[in-house]
Amino acid sequence: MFAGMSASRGAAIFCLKRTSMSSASETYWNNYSVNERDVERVYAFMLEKGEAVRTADLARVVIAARAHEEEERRRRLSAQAVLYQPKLAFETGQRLIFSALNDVEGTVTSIRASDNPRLKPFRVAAVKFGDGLIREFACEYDLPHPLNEVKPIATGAADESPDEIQARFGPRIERLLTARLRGDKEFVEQAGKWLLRGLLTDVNVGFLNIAEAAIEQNNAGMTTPELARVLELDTDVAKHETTLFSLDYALQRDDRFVDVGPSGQTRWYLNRLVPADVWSVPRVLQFGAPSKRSEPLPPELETILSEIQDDNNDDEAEAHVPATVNVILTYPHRRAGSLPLTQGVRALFPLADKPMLIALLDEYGVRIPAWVAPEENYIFGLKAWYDRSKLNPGALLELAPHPDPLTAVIRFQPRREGKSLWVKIAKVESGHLTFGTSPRPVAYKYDEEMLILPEDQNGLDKLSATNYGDRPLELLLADIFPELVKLGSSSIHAKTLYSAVNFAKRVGARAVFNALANSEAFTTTGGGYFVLQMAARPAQVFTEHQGKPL
Amino acid sequence: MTVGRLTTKSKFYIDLDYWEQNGRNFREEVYDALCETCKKMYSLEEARLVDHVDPETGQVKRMDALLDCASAECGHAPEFLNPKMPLTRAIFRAFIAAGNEPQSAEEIYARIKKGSPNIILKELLSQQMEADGITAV
Repeated sequence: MFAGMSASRGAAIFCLKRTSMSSASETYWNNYSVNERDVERVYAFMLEKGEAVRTADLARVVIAARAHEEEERRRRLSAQAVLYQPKLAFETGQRLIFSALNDVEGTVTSIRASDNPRLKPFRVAAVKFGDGLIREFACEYDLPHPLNEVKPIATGAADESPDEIQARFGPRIERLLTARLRGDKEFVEQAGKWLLRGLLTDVNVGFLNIAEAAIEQNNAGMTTPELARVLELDTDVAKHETTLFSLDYALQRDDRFVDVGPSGQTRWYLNRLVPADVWSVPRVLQFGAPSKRSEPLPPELETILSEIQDDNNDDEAEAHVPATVNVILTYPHRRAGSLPLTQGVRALFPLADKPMLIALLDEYGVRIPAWVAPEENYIFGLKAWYDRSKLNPGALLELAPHPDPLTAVIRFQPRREGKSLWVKIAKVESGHLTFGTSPRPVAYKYDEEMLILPEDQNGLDKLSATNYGDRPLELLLADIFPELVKLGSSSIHAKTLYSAVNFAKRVGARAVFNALANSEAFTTTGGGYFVLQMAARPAQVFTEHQGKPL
Repeated sequence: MTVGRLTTKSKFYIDLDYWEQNGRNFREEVYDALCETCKKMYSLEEARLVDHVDPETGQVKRMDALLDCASAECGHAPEFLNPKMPLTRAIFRAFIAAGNEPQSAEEIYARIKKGSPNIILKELLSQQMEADGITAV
């Protein structure tokens, strides 16, 4: 009988009572799909606007239009039809909406007096429905009836204000709009903004060639407005936004250019000028397998850990206020010319979700271009500075904030070289990492426990290329420990082991301390020192590693 | 739960033609169920139809005055469906209370709160209920 009633209309017109978010509205927006009218509305809005607009703004256009449309429809309906309530009086020809019958509509064809001596007299309206059937309904019926309590409230798309709808359903609507517009050649998308293709400013290959030259000459990331100025594309103030969008769009689609800015801030650079070690992690900077155990550290080791900036890849992202941080250089970073992107170092720069070009100012104010590799936790580009400063693993470095968020200050504390110091040296013998001592000039302040100089760089590089460092951390430590004991002391400091094991594989201090604290092979003797329990050494340590080049 | 092709959601009603064909007076059964006030309003002998207002939709149907009374007035009284009443009696009363609108075993259970929908379905299909003209829609 009520087949002619559309489901959407049924859901959208009336409900029994209003809640904070009506189920009809929820149903309407949860079932929302983009239709051609929405696309036309968006198109018209963008045409009128004439500049790039955010997806959220487009969603707002759709929400406002749909809500307005629904409100109009409701107004039209309510002008023509009345919500049926038994207590109301009706007249012939009047249109009624029956909420208890899925909001079906009908027309009053006649009215008669009631016939029931048990009840106070009322009227009976004959109502004809769309399928031709006629049913009778009570009217002017004052007795208690649930329908007499119903408040006619319009619901559906227009239940809430556009702001409320956007807050609640905006992300879903934006997602659907994005998917729909991406499939339409009329629309172009760039960094969450949309522009009509026909409104794109022509940025031809000549402009792009000039942009390439400008970036190369500048040797720094350039923002889109900076490039627009160079290209003299920013003269038309009215079309400024559109010009920047078009330039961004053209640069994005040219392989010569790459965005090296922080998250949400585009800065263009040349792909060919980005060091390969930024895109693919050098082997020496690849993290070793994490320790399987992660019990809390003894307080003593926690204290030591807090004194050094741990280099690991499993820190949770935390908001830190930029402040001066001290970093102790480890072998992988010295070899690769990088810095660990510790929590403290990370705080010195804006958030990045891809390689980001930054600058470090050395003690003379010389600008060192460097790259933040956020995924692999390192800053790349310091090899020449390390070489020039003659720095080695164990050197104390200081990084400080700079007014420019993409710049930080880096320095080390010079030390009078004077007489050479007897220092630990790392070398490779028979495919194994081993250590010795040797007198060496040291021109920088260093951490007593972590200072280890590479003696045999060629051998160490070959060792890095093998699978020597790929073994479990406990085995590596048990292999290295006796080599350090040979230098004169049976107990070795945790920091020394951290520095030493990094000659075999990049591994964080927490992971090393965890392995030391939780392995039966090592026993603490206090003060951060450990001895190796020979009987408890992991069996595999005696197995010769394969030493195969990778 | 399916018993044959019928389930606890299958609708049943009292087939009044069956009563007539078997020379039984359904109005007598309804009259017996009426409260004293309603009994004073109508006599068993004088049959008449009145406008019955559906308690949910407001729709008006012509209904025997006794059944209208029983469903709209007496059906809400506690003694109309008391817990000590035999299940088959309670089921029959449930049909009267609903103005003989078709009801399922689940709906009857919701009204009488006795047995379970499955037990009520079995009763609805029993010979005793068949003798009372209970028929599936």
